[in-house]
Amino acid sequence: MIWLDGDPADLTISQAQTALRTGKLTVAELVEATLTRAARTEPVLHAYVKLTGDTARAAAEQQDAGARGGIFAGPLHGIPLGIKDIFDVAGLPTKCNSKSRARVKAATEDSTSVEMLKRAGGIVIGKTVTQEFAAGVVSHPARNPWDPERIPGGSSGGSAVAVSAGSALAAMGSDTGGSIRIPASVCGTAGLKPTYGVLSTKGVFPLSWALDTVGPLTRNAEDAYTVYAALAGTEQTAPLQPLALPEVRIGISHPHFFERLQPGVYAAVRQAIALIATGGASVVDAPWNDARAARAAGFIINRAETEIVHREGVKNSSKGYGPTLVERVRASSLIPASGLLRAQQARTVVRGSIEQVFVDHGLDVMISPATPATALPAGDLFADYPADTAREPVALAYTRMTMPFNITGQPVLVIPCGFDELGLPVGLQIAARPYDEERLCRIGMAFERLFTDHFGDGWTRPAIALEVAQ
Amino acid sequence: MEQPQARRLTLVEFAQIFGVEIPTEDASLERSVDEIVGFLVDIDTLDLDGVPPASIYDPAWPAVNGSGS
Repeated sequence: MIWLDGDPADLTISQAQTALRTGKLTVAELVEATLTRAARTEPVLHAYVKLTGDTARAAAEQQDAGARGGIFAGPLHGIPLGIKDIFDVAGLPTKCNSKSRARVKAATEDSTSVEMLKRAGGIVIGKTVTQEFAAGVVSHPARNPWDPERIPGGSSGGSAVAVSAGSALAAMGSDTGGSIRIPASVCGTAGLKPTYGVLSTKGVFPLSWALDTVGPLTRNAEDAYTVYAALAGTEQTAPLQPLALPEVRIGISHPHFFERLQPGVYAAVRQAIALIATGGASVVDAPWNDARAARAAGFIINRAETEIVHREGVKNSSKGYGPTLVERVRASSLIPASGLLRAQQARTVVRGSIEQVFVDHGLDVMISPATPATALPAGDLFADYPADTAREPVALAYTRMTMPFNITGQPVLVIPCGFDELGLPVGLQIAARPYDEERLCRIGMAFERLFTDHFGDGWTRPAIALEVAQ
Repeated sequence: MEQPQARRLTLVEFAQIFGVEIPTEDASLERSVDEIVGFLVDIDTLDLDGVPPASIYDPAWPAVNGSGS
């Protein structure tokens, strides 16, 4: 078994739980291994804005004492977690990677997410880097574990880096236009955006109230569901099992989700679809013609609400805001009321049309690339496509596939499905019916089995994690 | 459907009313405005006549989840 001769920092949550509950590992050992991994990778990857080693060690000792008496805290007993720095964690400032909040006081209460994670036994080991106020996809200064010259995506970039590199077993992200799924895709982790409105956003700095969703980044789909269930307060009575693929009907939607793709992304996703079909799933064409308009409506609502959230802040402390956000807020102030209302009308229309696609074709899920490009170089934030001379700015490129599902509100899981020609991970986006998170993750588990059979054990681990493992 | 260029002109004039100039030498701001215009035009591809805006959004699908959560 992997944890007997490997580094505990590389365990999945389910593996760690087995090791902890059978006495092969203590929480103190797991927390220490994760902090050691962070010490080795942080100088290069910058996943964290703040590590809370002392608090985490104290919590670990307490849990180990309980475990010696047969008391385990919950489904996340002893699991080291990174928390995106837009979530309140009591005792720590929520700086949102903005100089405008450099002197903000420490939060006095945990956000609901952090409260639920702690209640389930999770141990916070630090706060992870976000794009400023979660408004963007670069997450500076965090870097991609697969190539530190490249970005990790965003806005939950630090959380994806921590999970990928082994400096957290799971981490929290938020997703308004793709901010969980994008970094999961380009860092090679799993990321779950739950159904809009299911999980509380109390204590999380808002970006766009009509779209904001919180969820986990993890090493696989099973762990994503475990963290999701803890966040939702759902009791899991048995380990999640992969769904039998012959029971699964999958839709492929052209053209929106398969146009303007890097060749390596296209090839990896086509191969993944072929593997899934070979595994026995039904794969059918299921065009959703409103996907482009759905994305547009998401963009307009997101930008209009971001402007409202930040207009006073930009006016009063523009020197503390980064230029990207200032420009976004200024431009968004020009969105006319009719534009916002039409975007909200569009939301009504596209919710109806995606439902119709699922019903007409009997779909369990719709799959697509998560991003049209893999991790882009930090010094050149444009995506290029063959047969297309126009370079696409990273923020537009990365949200093109993800944002349609923020506007519909469906649950969406991203898992790695292969590599491009540079060896960078490619993410597969799996969108399900509203409130169908459990079935979605079971389908994700079935896909992961196929991909692991194809690529071999450990294929989602970046070289930096392997090089520094104990 | 309003053409993108006409929509842009409307938006820029609208901005001027509120004292916001969109200088063409400020390429990034101009690009941001053009993005907004492009997305407004994409929304115009839908038939929205008589459709109520989803100002408070319920993601439930009536045929799948019932009348709402």
